[in-house]
Amino acid sequence: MSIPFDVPAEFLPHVLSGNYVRYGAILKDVSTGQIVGHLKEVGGLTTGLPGAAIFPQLVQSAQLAHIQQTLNALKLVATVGAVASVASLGVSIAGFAVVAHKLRRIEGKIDQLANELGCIRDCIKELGTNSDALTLAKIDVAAEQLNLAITSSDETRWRGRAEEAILLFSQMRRLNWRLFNLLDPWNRYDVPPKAALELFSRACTCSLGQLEAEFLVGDSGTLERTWAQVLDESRQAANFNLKEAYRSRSDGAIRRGLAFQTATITEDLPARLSASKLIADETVARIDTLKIEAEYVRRLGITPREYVRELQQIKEPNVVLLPCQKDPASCV
Amino acid sequence: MPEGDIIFQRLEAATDAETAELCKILKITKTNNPGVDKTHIIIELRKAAGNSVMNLFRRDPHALPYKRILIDVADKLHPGFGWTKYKMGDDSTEEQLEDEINKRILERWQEELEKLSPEEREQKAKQFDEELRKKGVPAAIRETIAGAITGAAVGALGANYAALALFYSGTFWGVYASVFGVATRFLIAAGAAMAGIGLLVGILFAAVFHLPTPAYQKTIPAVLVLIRIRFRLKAEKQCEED
Repeated sequence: MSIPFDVPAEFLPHVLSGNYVRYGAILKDVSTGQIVGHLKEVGGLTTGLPGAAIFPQLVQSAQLAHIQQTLNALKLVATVGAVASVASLGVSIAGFAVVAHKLRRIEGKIDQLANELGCIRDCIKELGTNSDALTLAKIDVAAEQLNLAITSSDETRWRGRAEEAILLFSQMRRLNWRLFNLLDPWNRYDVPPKAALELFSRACTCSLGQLEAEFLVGDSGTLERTWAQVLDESRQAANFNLKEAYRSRSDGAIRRGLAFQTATITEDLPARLSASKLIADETVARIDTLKIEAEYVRRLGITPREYVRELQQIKEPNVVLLPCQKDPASCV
Repeated sequence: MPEGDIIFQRLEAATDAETAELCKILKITKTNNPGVDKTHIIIELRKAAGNSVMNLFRRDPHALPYKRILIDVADKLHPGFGWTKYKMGDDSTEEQLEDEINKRILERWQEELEKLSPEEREQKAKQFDEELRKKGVPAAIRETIAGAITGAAVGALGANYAALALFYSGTFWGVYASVFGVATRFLIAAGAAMAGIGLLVGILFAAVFHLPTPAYQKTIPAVLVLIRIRFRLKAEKQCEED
């Protein structure tokens, strides 16, 4: 094993005392501003939020605990909800293997998904692109290609599979962001915040898939450019005003007839919108800190593929902390 | 005195959609000037809420206090005979009265739905679902509403909004009439259509007594919109704090 790692629990006292602060996937020393290391989910992780504590050591951190409670409250379970929750809390680029695992589990659950996301389906119909199942199938294929690229023992074929995954994820990422921007789901009365978050998370899932595939291929220039695009897209999508969203939903409901309001403008709407924003912001923070991991692997002197494969071998704990090098300049 | 009172404040904060909704309820032609619309709404609401005989003697169109309007609505919705405990001179606030009205409206809808047999509720739910489908309401929302009607669980629709939910529904016209009262012209028309001259005279006699009371079919829904504006402002404040 060439990847040194620590158990995050060792750092918990520092986090709880306020000496270290977590932003996205990184831990920072508050007094010096230096990055202590980045958190990483690893191989044996098969259980998803919100049912099981994905971060048993870290969940004591107030912010994560709050997010987990929120996910529980929003009932983001099964179907794409589980994928979304992983995407929302996915720790790093190479953590996409977990997302891929979840994606495979949603196969055969399309009907259930359609019921859960009835409002999204209605909106998609409105746009004349009734292709929800096709979209999910394509994401599934992309994830499969990516997984094969990681596990393939054929040195000549894995790269082709990774490039195929890049293409598919890139298409799906653009489609999902386009759909998201056309629908403007945070401000629509007929899209519950939970469903808006699902749409957001789908787009982020595709973005993470593309980033992981590009990370595997190892072209740092392309990775950096894609990362910047993905960060910009996710930031824009998460950047909504809670008050304006509430008002827009209320007005939208009124304009369509009073009956609409019963099931859409409920007393807990501000709390649900706020919870969704918290998760969306957390996702953006995660994406924002992905670049640190790419740098880390470069300094480690192993190929991204070796790195991903090694991490998959770690069975316990399911989240590790990859410490930053002592040289402060390399950590900032 | 009431110029600048809660009605003014709520309308000041009303969105364009809410203003349009109030214009529709009060049967005012909406202009492109929000200030003019809001003034019309205030005058029309006080006129509708006032005793039409007393209105003749009011020189100031803003003379009727909002609290008086709320007490009348609360009394109208009070179960059985008699009135509520609220009086103009007591220390109850407008917000307390609004909460009472909101609660009572929900109870009335609940009572009316419970009077229907399960089969009737199911039939109503289907009819209402069809109405909503034609309006383009998403299936998920329709299902929630239909479930609440079938199960006679108005509360499941969410506080405050349940009252307005079925308001314009033809399906629930009977329930609506029971809760909000029937306009005098409907009484006369119904009498003419359904009865002989004797009953018509009786209805006309009843209508004369009905005339000076507030026009509840306008006042109650308008008050409910004002209450909802308060809830929205509270929710928006909560959003800002989060």
